[in-house]
This record gives sequence, structure tokens and C-alpha cells, in this order.
Amino acid sequence: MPRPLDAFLSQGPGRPSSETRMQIFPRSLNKLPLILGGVGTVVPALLIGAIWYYVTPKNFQVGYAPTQPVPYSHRLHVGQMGMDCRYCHANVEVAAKAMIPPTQTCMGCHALVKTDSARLKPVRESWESGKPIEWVHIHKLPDHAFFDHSAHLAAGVGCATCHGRVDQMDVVRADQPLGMGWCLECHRDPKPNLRPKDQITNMEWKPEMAANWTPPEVHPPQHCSGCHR
Amino acid sequence: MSRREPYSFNTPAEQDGAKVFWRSLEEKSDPATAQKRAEMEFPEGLEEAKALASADKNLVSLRRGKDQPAAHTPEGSVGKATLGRRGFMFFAGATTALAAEGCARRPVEKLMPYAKTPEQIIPGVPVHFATVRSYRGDAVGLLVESHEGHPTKIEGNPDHPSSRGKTDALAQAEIYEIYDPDRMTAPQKAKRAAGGPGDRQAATWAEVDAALADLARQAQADGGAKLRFLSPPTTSPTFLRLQRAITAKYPNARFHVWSAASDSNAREGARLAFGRPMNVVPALEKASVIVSLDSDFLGTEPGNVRANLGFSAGRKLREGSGGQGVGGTQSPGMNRLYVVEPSFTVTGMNADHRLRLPASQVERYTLALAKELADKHGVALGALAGAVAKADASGIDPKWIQVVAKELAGARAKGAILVGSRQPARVHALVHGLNAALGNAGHTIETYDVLDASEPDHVTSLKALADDIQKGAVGTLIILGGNPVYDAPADVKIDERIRAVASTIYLASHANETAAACTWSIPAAHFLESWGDARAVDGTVSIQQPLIAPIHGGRSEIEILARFAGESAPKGFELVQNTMKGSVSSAGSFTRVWNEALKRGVAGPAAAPAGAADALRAEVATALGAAKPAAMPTADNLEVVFAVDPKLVDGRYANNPQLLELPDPVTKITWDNAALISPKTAQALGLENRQLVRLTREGGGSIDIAVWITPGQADSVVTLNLGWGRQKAGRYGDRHGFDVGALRTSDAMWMASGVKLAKLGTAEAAALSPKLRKVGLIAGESPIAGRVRPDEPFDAGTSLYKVSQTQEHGGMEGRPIAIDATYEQYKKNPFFPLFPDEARKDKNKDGEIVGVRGSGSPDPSTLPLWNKVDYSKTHKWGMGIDLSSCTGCNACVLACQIENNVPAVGKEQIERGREMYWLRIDRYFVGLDADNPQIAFQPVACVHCEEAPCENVCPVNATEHSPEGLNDMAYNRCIGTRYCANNCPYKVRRFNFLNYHSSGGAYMDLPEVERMRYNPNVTVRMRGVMEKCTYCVQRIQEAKIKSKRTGKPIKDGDVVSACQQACPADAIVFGDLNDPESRVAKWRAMDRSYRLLAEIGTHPRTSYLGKIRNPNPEMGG
Repeated sequence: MPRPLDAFLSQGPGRPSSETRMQIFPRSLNKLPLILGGVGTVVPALLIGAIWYYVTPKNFQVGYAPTQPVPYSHRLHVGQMGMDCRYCHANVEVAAKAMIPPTQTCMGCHALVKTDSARLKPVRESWESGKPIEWVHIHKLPDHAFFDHSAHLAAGVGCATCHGRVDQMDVVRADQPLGMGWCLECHRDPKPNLRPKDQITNMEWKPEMAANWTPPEVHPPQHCSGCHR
Repeated sequence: MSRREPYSFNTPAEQDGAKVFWRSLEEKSDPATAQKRAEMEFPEGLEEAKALASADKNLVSLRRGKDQPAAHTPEGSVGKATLGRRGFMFFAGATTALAAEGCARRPVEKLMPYAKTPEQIIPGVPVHFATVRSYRGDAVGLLVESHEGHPTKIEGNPDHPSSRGKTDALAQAEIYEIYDPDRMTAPQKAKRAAGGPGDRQAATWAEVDAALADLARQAQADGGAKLRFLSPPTTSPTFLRLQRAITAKYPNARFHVWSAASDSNAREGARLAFGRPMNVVPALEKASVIVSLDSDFLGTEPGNVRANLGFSAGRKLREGSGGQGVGGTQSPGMNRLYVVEPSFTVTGMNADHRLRLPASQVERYTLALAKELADKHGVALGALAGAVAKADASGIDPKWIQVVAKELAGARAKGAILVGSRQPARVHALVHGLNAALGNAGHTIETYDVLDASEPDHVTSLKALADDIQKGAVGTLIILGGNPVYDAPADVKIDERIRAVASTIYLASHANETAAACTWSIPAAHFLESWGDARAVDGTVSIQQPLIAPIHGGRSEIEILARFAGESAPKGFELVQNTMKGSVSSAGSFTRVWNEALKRGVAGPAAAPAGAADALRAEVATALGAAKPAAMPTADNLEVVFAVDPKLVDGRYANNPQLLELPDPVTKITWDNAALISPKTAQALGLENRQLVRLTREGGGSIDIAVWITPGQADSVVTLNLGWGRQKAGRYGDRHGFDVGALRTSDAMWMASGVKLAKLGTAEAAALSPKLRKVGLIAGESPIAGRVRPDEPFDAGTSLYKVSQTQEHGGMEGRPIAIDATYEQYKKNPFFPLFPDEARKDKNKDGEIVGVRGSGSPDPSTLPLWNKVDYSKTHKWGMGIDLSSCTGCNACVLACQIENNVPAVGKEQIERGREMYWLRIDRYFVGLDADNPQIAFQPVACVHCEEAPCENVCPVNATEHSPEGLNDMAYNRCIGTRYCANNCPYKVRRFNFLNYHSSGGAYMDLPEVERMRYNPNVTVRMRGVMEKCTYCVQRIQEAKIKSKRTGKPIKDGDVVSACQQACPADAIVFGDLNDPESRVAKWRAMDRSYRLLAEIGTHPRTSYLGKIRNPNPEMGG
């Protein structure tokens, strides 16, 4: 009398004996919970990880370089001609906003220089009509975050720390994520990002250039109302 | 640790003779129910749940397809309707699509710099300009904050004598008026038709100019015989100059003056007493005894900011306010205020002694007081002696005559008697006589020359105009502001009259009731949009400097007048300059003088006070003798008293949601007015609170209005506030409250006797309902109605009018948090808030004293749960509020609201207890006498606990403590659990139940122009977010950043909170508690300083100074 298992094996598929008729799932399915468990954790983990990593200012903000109405080149004006940041962004030391220069500032030179340039047409039009040039906002903070340029300059944070090497950009691109985590990194430990106040606008400044200089004690706020009002 | 007895809520009967605090009559008579109501935090929540459920049902029936007819849902299964599979898929798909749409593209934001930067403007840094606001014959200097060309906040001008850096609630709310979305945007023209103008159509300014030129030319033929002007009284020297020029050019033209909130009585009274009109300006800081005869000098009377400053300066008891120590029983450093008035006003609420007396009886009281002064105290009344001798004091408490007379006689040259604009001219004249006889004139009462001595009595002037029109003598009527069709006396029938004039030109901000009667309506420029000038009561002239070009291209009054005066340059700027050139000697110095005037906001020094004039003239005696004494009103012969509304004045601010919502200082009613009656009168007439009644006057009209039973109201007197029930005010103001104009006739401008009251039936109430707002407000009329329940203005079934008031919200729960004492008690026990005497100690149910648990009691000895934070290294911000100084005027409430972008939420939301005020003023009735209680005020905002209960319960760390001790709120972290509000013992946290700034409450679909008023330095909060007072953290940050930039440390006074800046009583101070020299630290260290509910261990940063009253022991009680 063969044992039921031997009988099953000898009979082969399609001819189930009365004892084995209940066994409808193939044996291979025994691994299914294992596979599901594995995939069920790994895939969501990857998904969460991907969102965690990619859906951040680091990925969305950094590298944003929209086309501006006037193809103004910082590389030309700052990098090659050596203009100081504050020639155009004049209020950066006294106000929260660094100020996009008014058309007036452009025309200060371009009333005499490159007066026929086609690329400067929007500037001349703005000057004649009094309508502003519509620059595209790049370094944008959410409405509930109140950033003050003057406070950061007073502490000794250089332009390039947040805006990158603007002097090497033909088209301005966002260099840093400007997210809250990024802000707090510096607010918790500002010293590596401080420089002597006369070097604020120096794009090429490196900490080695002021080896004997000791950064001042600053106490940037780390509480909510420091930036959110 | 032993468990404490729960706070017992003592009924008045249990605590006979002790101080009892109550918020409303319901709370007093039925404390248990009131308590239950206070415990229900959101009383109307259930109602809303029902409304939402029914809205859901509608949605479900909409989305059911053919296969599932809506009828499938059985009626009555409200809230049980489920979402079908198809419905779910529909919404899931739509949601995903919307979400994807939101993420698909980075929103591109544009930066628009100036093409040419205006001088002195730094983007992001506000600029302040000095200007001036005219209000009822006075001018208040202002400094207005402007962000890149649009004004956002109004403050007082410290250099201006009527302001001294302070403002009132109305001045704060003015900022909204510029951005009112319902302002007239273009001139309108109507063809003349039978019975008035017909259809109106938009016109251009060129057409207006042509029409004006045409009318001016026509008028020249007959010297302006048919030309009439009607305007509110002016304080502008330029207006007056042009008026004189027009009179010279058109000798037959006439100027008429009308304002519903007029001060004609005061003016005529001065004319009677001094022979010419004078501005009477009290210098209350020098007064030790102040007697107010129906005068709300701290509230609605002109010059209220100046009066608040002066009055509170005499009640400081702090910082070396020198004792005056003069006059009888007078206490040093404290003045004493006696008020005689028919119903509670801000002034009456601050009285040390208050006599409720029908307004018509004030004259009798004044005469009796004069008689007592003359007979017993030897005050020489000269020509008035005869008239005064006949005084009849029957029915008036003799103590009020004897004691007040004694006080006044003992404080010669240190007393002040003030009389309200409601009282007839002869009473004003009599009071001027008394002030002169007592030697007060020239000391505590100063008189100054008026700007325009020819200004007529308003009623006479308006009647003369109406008569002229009836005679057909008027062909052209120019109305410069005001709203006569709404607010003129009913018997003048000005609507009919105006419609009968061939050409009527109306300069106004809104297309209101009067505009409908005129052939031309021209948009008026707001005072912050146009050049002008204004003269304060003491003769200080200020230039009204515009902050912004007219948003809707409006014109100012003087620009219209100039076209008739034949000025070559009819631009406001030149007109004002030309006026000023006339008063400057050399042309060369003019530019310097002009620039200085603009910079300081004051052109030249104040005028010298006019010398003491003889006020005891025989004319006054004649006028007094000729007057018939008014009979005491009774329940079937009521007296009606009209009051200038503390919020809408005479209806001029009727479309200002901030003011509409502002709780009335007395009743705490929002969005409405009501007929105020006393509890006794209500009982006599069998009236319920909120009941609709009809008031009928013999030989006059009748009005329908809801009654509101108010403590402190004189019996048989009905007080009606002007300015409500507008039918053409705009989207916010339409149909709120009741128009009382039909009772107001030219012979009864302020009080009327012989008024009968009848209850309205259900049918009559229903007939009234189209004139009243549905409680659902804008929401009820908007396309997304259903979310907020639109509802009838009456309670279902009972026809009781729905009144939304904030007074019952929150509650003391038996704990005395507003603490007061008399000056005598204070001298005995200077630490009365901390260590109360027997009368105030808390008792348990059996009447045993359970130990000091009063609000001011010291911090508990138990250790806090968390480690103590060391605040000594940084700033330690704190606030001090002096309850002795606070007059409850509401200026701080509005200042806070405007500074911090706090929305008005609408009547229905208030009814649900959802007001958003960061700073509220609690008003408590004190004492057992429901008819004549005392009042205590307490401004309450977030007290910034060092051990904040709200912070511990927030699951997402949205509210956190800053190292400087501020209780911060991070809006974008908040997920709206409301645990913090639940755990806040002070009930100062506010939740955005709806998107009040864009699509909820009163602000359905907020127009773009209204958004311009926002303070750009404060986040505009959205739905689902908790908010509360931040101690004006934006101002703290600004000061700190400035200090970092300049390297100068922050001094005391560098950070001023918005409430502190506005407060005309100097009752609020803010600063660094770590600086021992700061005012706030000194206040905190004072003897009568206490902190709210300190015994529960919250360590609040805000401290209060206990309220001191200064009653006269001779008055008893």
C-alpha cells in the first residue's frame, strides 16, 4: 500500500487522488509571503527614500536658472569688469531686501554704452515707458519666512555663501537650497561661513585668505520667531 | 499633595456685601447656566455640524448619477449619506489630477523693481509721513506708515497737541477706508426724471469738469442766487478761504452745514455764554475733580484722544506722578470723576461715582448744582443767580448735589465741569458760567477761538436749505460729503427736497442713499489721498499730506470748491500752499516753512488760549428761564436718547468691517445696534432681551428695533445709537442693525420724550426681515453657500433678533482676574492684588476661606515639570497693563488687529465664538446693584507664560518658546488640533476656522484692493491654523536687526507694541524685564502689580497693575 504522498507523486498532475484534491496551490507559492514581505518593505522604503531625497529644495531649488527678460550677465559685469555687488543691489546693507536694481541703474551706464544693443531693448523700453522690467524671482523663500539681508551682512556672511559664484554665471542659477534645514545648519554653527566685513562682496574670498582673523561671536536665532512672524 | 476644592462660583446672594464680578445680566441672575455656557468652548458647534451635514447631502445628491437617483436617499438620513464607488473614484481622480497640476510646474513669480526709484524709498523699508485727520471739529495729527507707496498703519503724531503720539479706534480703522472695495470708482451721471434722477451711468472726469464749469458760468448771471452748497462742518482753513472767495464772487450763493453728529449745541452754548463761539478745551491733567454732565469726553466727543491723555495722567499713581493733593477729600495723585448720564458710555464706565439720569433731567441737575454752589459755597453767579435760584431738585438724590458741590467748591481752579454735545446750548452756557465762577476757566478749562465763527446751527441751516428748495429758490446744489438723505432729521424730508433740485452734485466716497437722489455723484478722495489742511481745537494748523494718489481718481472738497472760486490752479496742493502763503510774511521763507510743516505735521505753534471771557451773561439767564422743565419719563412715556455710535459715528464708517465687528465698549455687541433699556424698564414693560419692539413718538415717526437690556441704564430711557441700519452702505455694512432716523426730528435731535413702546408680533417681525441681514452674511449670498449656514435674522419661533456679542465668551469661572480696590483700601493694603483682604478671599461652598488663591497670588511653590530656563543673558520681553489707566476705549484692539493682519470674521462667526481678536478688552460689571453697577476693564492678550500650558500639548511643536521668553507660533507647522487653545487658561488663542482672508466669514472673495492694507511684515494666516498675540514680534525683530546693523544696543522704548503705541491712556507698556531701568520692569515691581492666574504656575510675562478707584467716602456705598 503506497503512502498517500507516493501515490500523489506517482499519479502526477491532472489526476488527483481523492486525498490530494484539496491541494490547489502549487508548492512554489510557499515563497510568496517571503517575496511579498521583501518587496512590500523594500519598494515603499525606496519610494519614501526617493521622495525624501528628491522632493527637497536641494533638488528643486538648486540649479533653477530661468530665462530672464534681459540676458544680463553677471560673469561679464562682475567677473570681468569687476563691479561691486552693491553698485546695483544698493540697499543690501540697510534693508531686508537686497533690491533688484531699478531700470535707472542700468541706464546710468547704458544711456552711453551699447545704446543700440538689441539685448538691451527691454531696458530702454522700460526706461521710456516707466513700466518695470519683469525679472523672474530665483531666490524665493516662502511667504512665512522673513529673511533680512542687512542682518546677515552685519554679521559677516558673504554674498557668495548663499548665492554662489555669481561672478561666473552668465545666467543666474540658484546655488543653494535655501531650505529651512540648510538655514539652520549655519544658524547653529555660523563661524565657518563668516568673513571679515570688508570681504563680504568678494566673490573669490576663501577662509585661508584671513588666517589670522578670528570670526566674531554672533548668536543667530534658532527659534521660530527669528524668521517666522 | 492635597487636592484643592474646585473654584466655587459664588452667587451674589452668598457673598452679600462682597465684590461680585459679572459679565452680563444672565450671568448674574443665573450663574450656573452662564457657567455651563462658558465651559462650552464653541457653543454653536452642533449647529454647524448639522449645516455641514445638510450641505454634504446636497453634494451627494448632485453627484449621484442616473443609476442612483437622489430620491433614493430617504429624507431625514442627514449625515448618513455615503459616497458611492463612482463618487469615490470621481473625487479620487479629481484630487490626483489637481495635485499633479499643482506639482507640474514651478510657479513663476516676477520681481518688479521701479523703473525710476522715487526719492527716499528703500524697498522693504516703510516710510512715515505726517498728516492730519479731521474729526467733529477737531484735527488729530497722524504719522502714517507707507510700504512702497501704500499706507498700511496709522499712528499718532507726537508733535501734535491733539494726539501726542496717540490715536483712537476710529483713526486706527481709517486705514481700511482707503481700501474699501465698495468705494465709488467713477463719476456717475443720471438724467433728471420725474420725482428724482433716473438711471445712472458712468461718466468721465472731463464731463464732470464741463458740468461744473457750466454750472459756475450759469450762476454768475444772478450772483449765484440759485447756487447752494451743503457740507459737513469744516476745520480746513483752505475750505474757509475758498468759501469766502465764492461768497465774494457769488454774493447770493449760500453755504449750508449739516452733520448728524454735530457739535452745534456746544458751539451755540459758547456763543450764548461768551457772545461768540469758542472751542472749549479741557486740560484734564490739571484737574482733580471732574464732573461730566452727559459728556462722553473719553469716548465719542471730539477731542477724546487729548481728554484720555489728560484724564489718565491724573490717575497714574506711579512713576512719581506728583500728588495734586488739593480740594477737600481729594487723594493725592488721583483725580475723581463724577458722571451724570442716561446710559453707560466709556466715560461713565470710568466714573468713580455715576448717577444715571435721563438726559432731559441733566439740565435740572445742573441748575440744582449751581444753586447749591451759590447758596452753600458762596459761588458768585452774577446774572445767572436769578435763573439758578428757581432750580428744582425733586427726584434727584440730594447727596449728588451736596457732595458734588462741596467737591467743586473745594477744588476751585482744579475742577472741571464738562457737558456733552447732546445737552441743549443753554446747559452748555450755564456750565461755562459755573466753570468761570469756580475759577476753572483758564486753568482746567481753556478756550480758543474757532476757525469759522459764522458756522450756523446745523439744524437751522439744513432747514433753511430745505425751505429754499421748496420755494424753488435752488437750482444747483453742491453736496460736499456727508450723507444727508440717510441722517438728516426725518421732518426735513431732505430726500424729496434734493430730488426736486435741477442739478445736484454729490461728492462722496460711496454710492449711498444720497447719491441715489442726486444727478451727479463724484468719487471723493480719502484724506490720505488728497492735499488739505485742518485746524485743531486749540488753533494748531496741520497740513493734510496725501500718502497715495487717489486709488479711484477721486477729488477733494477743496478741489471742487476751487472750480467755483475761480482759482487758476484747482489742484489741492496749490490750493493749500496758497492758503499758507497768506499767513507767511516773506515769500522767500515760504519753502522752508512749508517743508518744516510737512515734516513735523504741525504748521507753527498752537494759538494762545483766549483770555477768560465773561460767561455769566444775562442772555444765558433768559435762555434758562425760557426753557420748560422736562417731566421725568415713565414706562408709558419713555424718553429716547440718541447717541453717537462709538464705532460708526453717524454711519460714516458703516462699510468698515473692522469697526462693524469691534465689540461695543459697553454692550460688547458686534455688527449691530439695539435699543438699550434698563432691567427695571424691561420688567415694567414685560420685555425680553433681543425682543423686537416698535417705538412710536407722538406726532413723529416710528422705528422697529430689538431691545437690549443693559445695566446702568436710566429707567424709562431708551438709548439709540446712530449710524446703523444702512441700506446702501456696501457689501459689509448693508442691513446691519436698525436705522433710528425716523424718530429723530429737528426738534428732537438728541432726545425725545413721549415715546411709546409696543412689542412686535411674528408677522410684523417677518415683514422687517428683508431690511435685515441674514446671519450667514456674505456666505449666504455667495456661490459656495451651504458651507456656512445662511439663516434668518431672528431665532426660529420666538422672533428674537439674533445679536452676536463677545461678552459671554470666556469667563472668570469665579476667579477674580480683574482686581480693583478703592484708594483707601490701597493705602491700607498696597499689595491688595497679591494679598487680598477678607472680602475678596476665595471661599468654598461652605463659606470657609480656602486660602489665598486670587489671581494675583504668588507663584506656586511646586516645582515646574521642566527645567527652568535662564533668561538673564538675553532680552526678557514683558508687558505691563495698568488697569487704573485703561479706559476701555478699544484703540488697542483695533491697533493690534491692523498691525497683525487679524481679520474680521462676520456676525455669524462671532455668534459661534470665533472672533479673531488677539487682544480683547474684558468688561466686568462690579457690585450687586444690577441697575447701577461699577465697571472694570481688563485688556487680555497672550501673556506669554514662561511655563506655557499650550506648548506642552502641541503634537507638532508648532508653538515653542523662544530664548527671550516669547511664546512663538509657527503657523506653517500647525495642523489645527486646537489642543493649545483648549489648554490655554487665558483663552487668548484664536483658530482660523475658515479662510477669513480669502473666502470665509465676512471676507468672501476678498477683492484685490482690500489686500493692499496688509502689513507686509506679518504672515497672513490661512484656514486651519492657530494664532495669537506675538508681542508684535515683527517689531522686536526689526529693533534687533537695527541694533545688529548699527551696533547700538536696544534701549527701553525702542520696541513699542502696536497696542502700546495706540493707547491714549498710556495704560500699556512693553520692554525688557532684564533692564531694571525699563518702564515695564518698574511697573512689574510695583506694589499693586499682579499676574493673571499666577497661582497655577504659568509664570506669565504680562503683569497687571490693580485698578484703583477713587470714591468719595461722603457719597457712601
